[in-house]
Amino acid sequence: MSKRSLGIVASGQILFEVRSSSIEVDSLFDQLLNSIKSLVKFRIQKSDSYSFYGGKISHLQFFNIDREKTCVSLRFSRAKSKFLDNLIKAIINKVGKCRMNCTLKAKIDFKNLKSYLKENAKWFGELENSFSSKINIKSNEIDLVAYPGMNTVSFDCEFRRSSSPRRRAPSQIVNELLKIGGLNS
Amino acid sequence: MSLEYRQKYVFGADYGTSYFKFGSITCGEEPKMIENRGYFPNKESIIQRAFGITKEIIVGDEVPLYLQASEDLSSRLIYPMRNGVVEKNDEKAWKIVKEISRYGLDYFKPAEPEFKGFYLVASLSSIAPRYMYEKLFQIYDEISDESGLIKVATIIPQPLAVAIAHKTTTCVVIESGHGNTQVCPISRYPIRNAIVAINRGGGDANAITAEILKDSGYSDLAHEEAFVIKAKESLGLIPKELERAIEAAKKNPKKFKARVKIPGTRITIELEENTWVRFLIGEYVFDPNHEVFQSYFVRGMPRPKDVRVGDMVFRGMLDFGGSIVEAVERCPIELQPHLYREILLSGGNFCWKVPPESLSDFAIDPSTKMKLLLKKKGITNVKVNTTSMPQYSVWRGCVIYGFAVPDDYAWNWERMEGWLSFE
Repeated sequence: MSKRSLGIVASGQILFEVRSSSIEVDSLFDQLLNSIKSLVKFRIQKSDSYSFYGGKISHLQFFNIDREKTCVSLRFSRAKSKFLDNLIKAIINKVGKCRMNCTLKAKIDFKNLKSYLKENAKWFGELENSFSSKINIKSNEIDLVAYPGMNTVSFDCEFRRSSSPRRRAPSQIVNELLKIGGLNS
Repeated sequence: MSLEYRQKYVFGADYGTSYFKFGSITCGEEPKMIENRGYFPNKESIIQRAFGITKEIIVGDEVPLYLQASEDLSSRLIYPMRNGVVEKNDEKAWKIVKEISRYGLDYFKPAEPEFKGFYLVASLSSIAPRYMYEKLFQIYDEISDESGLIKVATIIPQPLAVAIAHKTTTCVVIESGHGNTQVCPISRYPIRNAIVAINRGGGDANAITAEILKDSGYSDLAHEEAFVIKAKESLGLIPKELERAIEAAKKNPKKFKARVKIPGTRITIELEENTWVRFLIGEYVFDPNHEVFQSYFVRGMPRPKDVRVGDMVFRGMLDFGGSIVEAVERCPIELQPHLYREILLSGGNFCWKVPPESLSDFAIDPSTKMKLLLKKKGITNVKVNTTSMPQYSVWRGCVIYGFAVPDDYAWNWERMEGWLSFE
């Protein structure tokens, strides 16, 4: 990872499912928290928010899908790439798979990014203030939307425990996007 | 609709008196922000006709490009909200509200074919009357018919959004924006009868800063709001105790020196011997009653007045500590200690730079100031927190709320919550 990419922080949300019968709210979160703490140095807890060196998690929410499944949502913010990798690792080690929506704020070259996506994406669409695409980056299928006027790129991706290590690392996607956008050569 | 759909398409819209903050859940930690105003261009002008410009209302970043003669401004440049309220029968104002709503939704409209409309969460002032909710839903219905941009919508009070962002259901939220301040006790839902409104906000801090700049020899620039705001943010200090701070700064002005360079210009502001005035900016926000401010009022600086908006009186000179006490004491006695134990400061008017360590004996942060003001009123055992990125905490709360509320929770006019569908 280049020095420049270390300055980029991310925010977003992670969704994953657990079996309703096996879920105990407090213990699931405690287990996850302990897993993350074993990978990343913990700083401080403030109310519902847990700060680590490299990122913060908060707003754990539970949604009953049906009698068998419960969906769990977790928000992260001020996250460095390495923290994202460790967060995903902790979650998929526990539950097998999860879906992440990640937003990066960075002054990247959006013209470059747009040209690249037009040539390489499975699908590309553009409106006045944004462009979107479906593309494979580092063997991950991602849905991407960019808002150049806000220097923001957001991507949506699934991560699975069964995938290769490279495919389980959000940092690979982040670094590649920044590279395409001219920030991470 | 699945949570994965909402993970991408929840949309927050915070209707502040001066600024409209908006954005989808995918735009990160900071929303887009535009001034809550609209311009009605002169359609008869030759330029409009020659270039075929047919927009009835201009909003957003384009407004400055359309401004014409300054004598027309008062009739053409309209600010629809006053203290968070739009007058019921003000057609032009409601047209602007519709246009900024459409502008915001359009800005974040995604290109993906699977998009079927946003889950829109709007927030209004805690004192917004019921007709504002009705009008806003009507606007959303129209926008949805025209463009399909809204799937479902809900409206929540701004202090509730802040409480949601902090996952706290029992608290006092002080939401202080550009034009006014709302002090709102919350116990599961805002306690409407306990709300205290103050006719004082960031704009008043700008006013005292402008006077300070005039006194310091920067009269020409004191009329330019952007310059005044920059000076306020760079120079303003919140005093631990005003008289002690002023005395210390008068004895040793160099210790409290600050130099502000305006980017892109050759202008630098230095207060020389009068560095003590930096403390006036912070004090005025929290408590404008000190006698030192009298000279400014006498010289013409507008004194914050009491104004009535609907059935709510916005008090001009009430200090923030007194406002919290007044609001809490309107609540059940058993609830009061719980409210004091969770006080949240939100809104751009609480965005202050951390004072340098060397001045920590005299300059403090907003939370500490609030605790001191409450202590003066005899209230101890309080917990005060300033929200992170206070100017965006309402918007963040909207986005979190939008993700959390189940699809099948339909809008109820008695409870004033739930989703209204536009499918």
